Amino acid sequence: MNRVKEYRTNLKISQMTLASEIGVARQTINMIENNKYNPSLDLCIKLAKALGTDLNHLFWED
Amino acid sequence: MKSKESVSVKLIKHFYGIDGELDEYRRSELNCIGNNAFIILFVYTLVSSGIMILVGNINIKYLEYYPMVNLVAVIFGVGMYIIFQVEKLKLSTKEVTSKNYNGERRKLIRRSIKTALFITVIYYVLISFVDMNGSGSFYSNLIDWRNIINAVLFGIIFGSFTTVINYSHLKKIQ
Repeated sequence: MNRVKEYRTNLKISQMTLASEIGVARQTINMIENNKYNPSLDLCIKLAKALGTDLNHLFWED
Repeated sequence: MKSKESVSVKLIKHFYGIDGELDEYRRSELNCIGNNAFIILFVYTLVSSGIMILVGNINIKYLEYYPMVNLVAVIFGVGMYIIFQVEKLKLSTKEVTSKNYNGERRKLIRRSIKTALFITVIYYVLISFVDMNGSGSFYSNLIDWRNIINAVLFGIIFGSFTTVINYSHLKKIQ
């Protein structure tokens, strides 16, 4: 379970905006948010940077 | 954050009909589809070669249709598998905003026309080689009006089909 959707909605940006910011398709963001695809470390870092957070907050379960 | 596409990326996108970003998710799915297609093709080649050897031992004349059967099996078997999987996973879907929709549609039509023209020329040369009408040399076939009409009709049908398929991949989002 990741918090990509939570962070994205907090920033009020669309999946499309986030996708174009990190250079992936919108479907990929959708798959990640719904836990249907495990992104690579490289993509996780890009996501964390784009959402203004770090990997721990974004992907680590408490 | 768009980087310049390499020739191999362009080739993969063109082959699988991907329009848009070839990101890691799409790439991993395509790798999976490609691997499956390879396994299917490899097993088919082994089995069909075995059958060919057995049949060839009985009567060599039976192998007359082997290349054609092989071609049909590869094109319709593996080709359809790839098309089906790409469609199922929506890998060829291109999402565009309402603002860019008209521009993308124009681009799509231009691209379809270019593809249709290219395929028509290939088809025209090919049918002239094959000598469909039995009218003689390659050059006489090349100027045969029946071949020209045949190729033009093929181009129109292929172009329309390509446009419809490409158009169905375009998805408008808010």
